[in-house]
Amino acid sequence: MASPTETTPTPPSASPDQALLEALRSRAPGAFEQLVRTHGGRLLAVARRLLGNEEDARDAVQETFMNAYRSIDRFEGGSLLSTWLHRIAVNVSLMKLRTRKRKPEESLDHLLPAFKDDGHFAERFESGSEPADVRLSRIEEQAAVRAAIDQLPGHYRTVLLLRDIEGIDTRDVAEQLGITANAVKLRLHRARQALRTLLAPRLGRTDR
Amino acid sequence: MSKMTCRACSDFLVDYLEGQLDPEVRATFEFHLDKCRNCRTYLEQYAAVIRAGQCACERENEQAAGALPEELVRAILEAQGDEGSGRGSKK
Repeated sequence: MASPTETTPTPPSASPDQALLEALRSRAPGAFEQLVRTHGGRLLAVARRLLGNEEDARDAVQETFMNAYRSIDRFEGGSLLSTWLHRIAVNVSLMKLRTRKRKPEESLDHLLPAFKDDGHFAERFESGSEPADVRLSRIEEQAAVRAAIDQLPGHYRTVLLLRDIEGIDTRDVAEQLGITANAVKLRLHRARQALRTLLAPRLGRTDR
Repeated sequence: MSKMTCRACSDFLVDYLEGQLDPEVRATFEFHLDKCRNCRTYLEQYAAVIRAGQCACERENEQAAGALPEELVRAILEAQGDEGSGRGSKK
C-alpha cells in the first residue's frame, strides 16, 4: 500500500500545485518531469535517511514516482502534492526495509540514563552557558546531530526518523512496523534518550 | 499531591511533550519538575535534541531539493515512458 490516504487538509488558497496536478492528470508533456525535478531531491533525502544506502534510496525514489504516476487520478488534492509524495516515499522505503534480512535488535542500554535505587538520576545534568536548543541548532553542530542519529541501532533509528523527523503519527508508525503503539513510544523514548547521551558533550557539563 | 521519582518523570516525557498526560498525572509531573532542577535540565536537553534532529534533517532536505542526480531523473522518466507506452519495464 504505497499510495496513502490524504491526511493533511489544505485550504484551496494554499494549493499552488493545482496547475501541475491538472497537467499530470491530462498527461500533458513535461508535467511528470516537472513533478520529478521539483520533488525528487527532497524525496531522495528522506529515502537515504531511512534506508542508509544510496542504491536502495534511488530505487525507492523511482518506485515512489511510478506509484504516484499510476495513482495520480485517485489523488483528490486534499493535501499538498509534496505531502502525498512524501508519504508514498516513506511507505516504499519501509517496504524495502522489511524485505531486508532481519537483524537481531541491538541494545542501546549503555546510552540510557542510570538511576539510583531511590529513583533519582545517577548523573547530575548541567546546562551550558546558553540554551541547549540554541547551541544544537547551530549549523556547525548539525553534522554532529546527523552523525549521532546514524549511530543509533536500526530499530530505534527508524522509529525516531518516522516520528520526529518525518512526522508520521504513532498509530501509523505502529501499523507500518507491525508493532504496538506502546512499543513505538518506548523505542522513541529510548532513541531520544540515547541521542541526548551521544550529544551530551555538546550540551553542557555532566557530573556522575 | 502524590510524589513522583525522576525515573517515573523520565518515563512520562513522550506523553508530556505530546500533551497526552491526563491532568492528574500532568500536575504531579509538573510538581516534580518544579522541585527538581536535574529533571528540568534533562527535559530541556531531551527536547533540544528532538528539535536539533528536525533542524539538521530539514537543512538536509533543503540542500537536496532540486538536486536529484540527472541519471536518476532520466531513469525515472524512461520507466514512466515505458509504462505509458505499455512496455512497463523497470529502470
